[in-house]
Amino acid sequence: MFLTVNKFTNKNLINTFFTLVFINYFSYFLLKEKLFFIFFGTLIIVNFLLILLKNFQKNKILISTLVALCLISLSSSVSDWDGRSIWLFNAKIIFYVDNLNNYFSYSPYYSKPDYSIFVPILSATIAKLSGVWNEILPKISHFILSVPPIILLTKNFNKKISLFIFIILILFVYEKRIINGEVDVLLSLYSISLINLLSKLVDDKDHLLSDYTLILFHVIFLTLLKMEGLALAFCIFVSFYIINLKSNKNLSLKLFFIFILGYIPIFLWILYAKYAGAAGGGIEISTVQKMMSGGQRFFENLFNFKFILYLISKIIINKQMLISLIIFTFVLSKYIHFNDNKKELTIQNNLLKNNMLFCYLSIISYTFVMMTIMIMVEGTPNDIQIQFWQATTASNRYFLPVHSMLILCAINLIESKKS
Amino acid sequence: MQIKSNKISFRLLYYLFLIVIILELILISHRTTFSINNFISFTKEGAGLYEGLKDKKIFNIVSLIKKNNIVEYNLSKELYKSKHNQAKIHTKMFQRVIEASYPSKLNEKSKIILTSDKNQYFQCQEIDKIDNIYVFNCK
Repeated sequence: MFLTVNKFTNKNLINTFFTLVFINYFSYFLLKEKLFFIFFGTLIIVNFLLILLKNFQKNKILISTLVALCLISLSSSVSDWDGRSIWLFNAKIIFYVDNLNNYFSYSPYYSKPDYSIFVPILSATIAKLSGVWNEILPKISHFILSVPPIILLTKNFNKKISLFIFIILILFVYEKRIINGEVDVLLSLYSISLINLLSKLVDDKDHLLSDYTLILFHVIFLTLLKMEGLALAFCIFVSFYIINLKSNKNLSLKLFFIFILGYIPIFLWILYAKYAGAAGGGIEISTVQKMMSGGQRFFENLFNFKFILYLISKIIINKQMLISLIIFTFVLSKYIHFNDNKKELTIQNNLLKNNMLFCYLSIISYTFVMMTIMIMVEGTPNDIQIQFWQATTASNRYFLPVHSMLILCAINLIESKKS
Repeated sequence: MQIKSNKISFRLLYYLFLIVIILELILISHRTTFSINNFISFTKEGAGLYEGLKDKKIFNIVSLIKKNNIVEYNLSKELYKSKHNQAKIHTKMFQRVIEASYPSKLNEKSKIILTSDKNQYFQCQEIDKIDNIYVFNCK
């Protein structure tokens, strides 16, 4: 079995996985009927198992951890609000309705039915394989989607410490979010995997078609996962262009087309949700529009210093941010030091390499965008009327990509040091 | 000698790290609703519903809807009462019942009413009950 699996490269296996997941989504979106759920569902599960098998020999500790998480996921039901009330409930509607056109016919507003149904479709596909709906099996789709970027990120680690730090990211920063049916961990993993792929593409001289398809799928998946994914992909690409446009014009142009192509599926969904949702009677106005309220609350919240201080404290003082910052600062401290006379600060070149600058810029731009969004959405009349509700409940979750990027920076620094 | 002691300390750290991983996995399973019974039944219909809902009253309502094959139902007002005086749409009762009972649907015009106060509906026909939750047909 291992010999057969070893014939495939990780890149090909993961590209096949992405293709299957996307075709399954897109065929349902186009045909509106679940004609191929069983077929693609089976292939996706087989491909997922092949990815785990292929990497087990090389990376026993990581794959064992992932298998343990998979077993915990299959032994627990979904109980957290986002997972239950948005993603799994929307998947349940897809599982039961005969046609996608009926998806909006019974959608209580709180379940945000206009959110992309990319992950719910995979959940419904997996439920179709068992033939019944329950509260346990469908949410495994979130975990299945998280494995390919983990493999892509870890396959080139040369040092054990990098792997250990990455496992800390999975177990201590993501914690139960990786298996509880939320998509924030997926956003984080796909964003750092995209940063990693783009950095490698600049470093490598030979660019294969499979590299470009991997990047394309990352952009498609990021944007289809959740609305924040649009901002995330945009920040990553803008950061990439700021660092690499001058030195890599040809590559930048190719990536620009990939970036545009990657946004098409989400725009198709937004258009469909707008018209089909209105026709179905379920949606009067999109969730994002409702949350933002045209930005009316932005200045009011911005000059509310009590709120701003509260928001900043909530973003910085939480377990996930502290773990990420401690790891990053600890690694960083090895590259900055005072000279013997303690008058000059020396910063090693590793810290200012292009791939590191790209990472820092992605962190800064996404932090800026998320802060702006959080200031804008606080106090929406559609929320629970508790003071600073969004900042209290969502800060650590919205900033998971930032935590992940900080840890990616630390790993990149460790990997860049010659042993 | 130095190399040997480095190897030992690295091995020690490695085993310590493995122990930490195992402990964290146990913590994660504790924080999710981990149960061996769930694993045994993860392909069965409705598995994990009670652990997911974490509320006996809501579980009873959903069980009554499913048991009586109710297609459309309405919930009595007193069921929405919450500590924080939230709007109906934000209450755990509203959201959890809608999610868990689907494909049965909540319809405010439905004559099938679920209630915890049976005196309110003395003129209706009682269909079923579990603990203090009743189903009435008010046609």
